[in-house]
Amino acid sequence: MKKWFFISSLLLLFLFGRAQEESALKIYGALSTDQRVTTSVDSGWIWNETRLDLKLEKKVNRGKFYANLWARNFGVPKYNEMGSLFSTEKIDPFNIQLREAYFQVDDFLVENLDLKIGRQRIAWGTADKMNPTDNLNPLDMEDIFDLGRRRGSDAINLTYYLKGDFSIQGVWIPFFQPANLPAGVFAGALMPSFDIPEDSTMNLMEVRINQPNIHINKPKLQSTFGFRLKGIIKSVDFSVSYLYGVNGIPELTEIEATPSVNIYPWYVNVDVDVQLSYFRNHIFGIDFSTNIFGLGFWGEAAIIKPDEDIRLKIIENQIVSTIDPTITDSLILDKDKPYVKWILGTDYHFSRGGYINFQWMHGFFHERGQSELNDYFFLQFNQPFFNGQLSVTPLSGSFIINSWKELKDNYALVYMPEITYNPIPEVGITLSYIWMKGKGAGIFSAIQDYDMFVIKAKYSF
Amino acid sequence: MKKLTAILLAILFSLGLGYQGYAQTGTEILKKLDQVMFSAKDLSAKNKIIITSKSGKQEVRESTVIQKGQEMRLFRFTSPASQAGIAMLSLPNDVMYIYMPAFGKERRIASSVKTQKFAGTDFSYDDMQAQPFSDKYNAKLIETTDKHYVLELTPKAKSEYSKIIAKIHKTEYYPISTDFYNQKNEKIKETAYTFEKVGKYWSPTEIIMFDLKKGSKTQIQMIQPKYDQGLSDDEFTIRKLIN
Repeated sequence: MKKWFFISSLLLLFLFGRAQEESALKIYGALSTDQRVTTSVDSGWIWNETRLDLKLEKKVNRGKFYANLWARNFGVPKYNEMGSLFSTEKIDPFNIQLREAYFQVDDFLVENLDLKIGRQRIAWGTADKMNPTDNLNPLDMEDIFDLGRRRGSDAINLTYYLKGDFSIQGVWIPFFQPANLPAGVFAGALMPSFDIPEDSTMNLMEVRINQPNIHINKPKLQSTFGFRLKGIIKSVDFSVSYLYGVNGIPELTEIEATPSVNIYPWYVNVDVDVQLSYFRNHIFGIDFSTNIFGLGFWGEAAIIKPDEDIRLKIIENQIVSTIDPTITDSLILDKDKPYVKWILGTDYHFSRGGYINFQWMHGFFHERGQSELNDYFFLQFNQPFFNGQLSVTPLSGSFIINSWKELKDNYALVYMPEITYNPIPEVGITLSYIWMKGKGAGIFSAIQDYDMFVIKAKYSF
Repeated sequence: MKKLTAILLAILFSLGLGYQGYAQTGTEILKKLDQVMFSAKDLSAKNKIIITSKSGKQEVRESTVIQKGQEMRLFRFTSPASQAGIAMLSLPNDVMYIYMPAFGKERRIASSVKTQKFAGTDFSYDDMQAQPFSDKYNAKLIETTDKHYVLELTPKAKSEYSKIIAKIHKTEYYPISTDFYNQKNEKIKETAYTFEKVGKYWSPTEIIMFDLKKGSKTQIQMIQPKYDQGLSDDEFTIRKLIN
C-alpha cells in the first residue's frame, strides 16, 4: 500500500507539474535553540535542542510544492557507560525529520477542487492549539509544553469549494502513524500507574518491581479517513466533521505480574509484562468561532465513540506456581457509551496592544472515557512594548482540576511567565520560567518536580 | 396651468442642481473622496513599509496587497522572514481573518483588534481595513479654502477616535492629510498622503502615518500598482488566504 501511495504521488506530480507556470523556489525558515535547566531536582540541564527549521516552497499557477524539514541536535549527551563514548548518536544526539512534504494542485480535474498529496499537517478546529476535533495527524508530545503539536501525515486531501462560503473536505491517510510520547524527563507524564491489589499475597513482604516488558499490538486496520464541511452562517464560522481512525496513543489492555522469591536478601521480585493496544474511534466533531462585542469566541466538541469495547485484563500469577493466577477483567471503554471532549475560548485585544486569551478544555489529548476527562483552564495575557520589540507575558499558565469533589487533593497549577526581546525583527530571545504544583494523578502533577528556566533564541531567515 | 407648473419645476430643479454643485455638504465631499479612493474595480500592488522610531532607527517590511471594490482586501507580508506569510483578509460587514503560517489555519479576528497597531506599524487594524470613509464616519464641512475642503469626521460606531480632521483636494477629491483625535480630544496621529495619477486613477503612492505620542512614523509606499486587472471575488476567500 505504501508503494502504491508513493507511485501515485509521483505520477500525479508528473502529470500536473509539467504544464504549470513556475516561480522561483523559496527557501526560508528559522534556526532556533531551546535550553532548559531545572531548579527543583538534581537533573540540571534537562532540555537541549538546536533546530534548523527549513522550508521549501515553489508556487505554480495552479498549486504549489511545499516541504518542511527539521534538522536537530536534540537531547543532552549520554555517556554513563563506556560504550556510549563510541556512539556519536549518544554523545551528540542528532536527528532529521521530514515534517511535511506535499504538493498541491488547485482546480484538480474540476474547478474549485484542490488536491493536496503527500506528508501534510491537516489542522481542524477553531480553538488555540488545543483542538478536540483535530485528530487526523499524530500527536507530537515530545515537548509537553508545546501543546497541540502534531506531525504531518502521509495523506490524500481533497477540498471542494462550494459557491459562497462553504467547502467540503475529504482526507484519506493510508497508514497508521502513532503519537510520539513525551521525551526526556517528561517521559513519565503519561505513564499509567498500577497499584498491587490490597489483598494480594505480594503485600506480605518487600516487593521489587522490575522494569516492565512492554508489548504493543498493532491496529487491525491501518487507514484513517475523514470528512469536513466548513462554512459561514451569519458571521459565525463553523464546521462539522467525521473521522474514522486509530487513536495514536495506545491503551493499556493487559498487565501480567509474575512474582518470584529472592531468598537472600528476602524479598519478592516481580516481573511485569504490559500489553498496549491501539484502537479505532468514530469521532464526530463540531466547531465554531465568532465575534461578539469585540470579543472573539470559539468552541469545539468531539463526540468520540470507540469502535470496540476496550478491556483491561490483570493477571496476577502466584508465588506458588501450582496455585491458579488471579485474573481480573474490567471494561475500560464501552463502545456503546460515547464520550465528549470540548473546549470553549475567548480573547480580547486591548487598545494599548495587550492581548488576553482564556480557554476551558474538558478532556486532554490522552484522556478517554467520560469519567476520566479532566478540566483544564488556560489563561494568557501578553503586553508588547517598544513597538513590539519587547513582549511581556506576565500571566500564562493553566489550572487543572482532576476532581471537583476532592479539589484540594486533585489539581495542578502551571505558571509560565515569559519575556521576549527582539533586538532585530529577525531575532527573538525568550526567557521564561515554568513552575508546577499539583496533587493526585495528572500529567503536570507527575512532572511537578521539574520546575525550570527556559531560554530560547530564534533567527528567522 | 400645467405648462406653468412644469416651467416652475424645471427652474427649481435647475436651481437645486446649481446650488448642490456650488456648496456641497460634508457627506457629499466624503462620498466623492470614497469614489476616488475606491474608483478602480480592483488593485494589486507591492508595498514597502518603513517604520521609523523616535530615535531614527528604521525597519523595513514588504508586503503584497490586492483589493477589489470598496470592501475586499488581501494583505500579505513578504518580509522580514519572521513575519513573511502572515496575511490579513478584509471582507464586507466588518469581517477580518488573519492567517499565521505557523498554525496552518485561518482565524477570524476579534473586532477589539481594530484599535491595535497593525503588525508593529503606526497604522491600526482599523486604518488597514478596506472600508469607505462614508460608511464609518459622519462628515461636516468646517472649512473651504482655494485648494482644500476641510471635513470633521465623527465615527458612526464605537471607535478609538473621537474625530478626524481631513483635508481634501478641492478638485480631485483625494485626501491630503488626516489628523486623528482620541476620546480626550487630543491629536494623537497625523497622516500625509501623496497621490499620483496612474492611468485614469489617482493612486496613493505614499502614505505616512505619524504617531504624535510616540514620535514614530510609518511610511507605506505603493510600488507598481496595477488597476482593473479583472480580479475575481474568488481571490478574496479563505481558500486564497491560506494558500
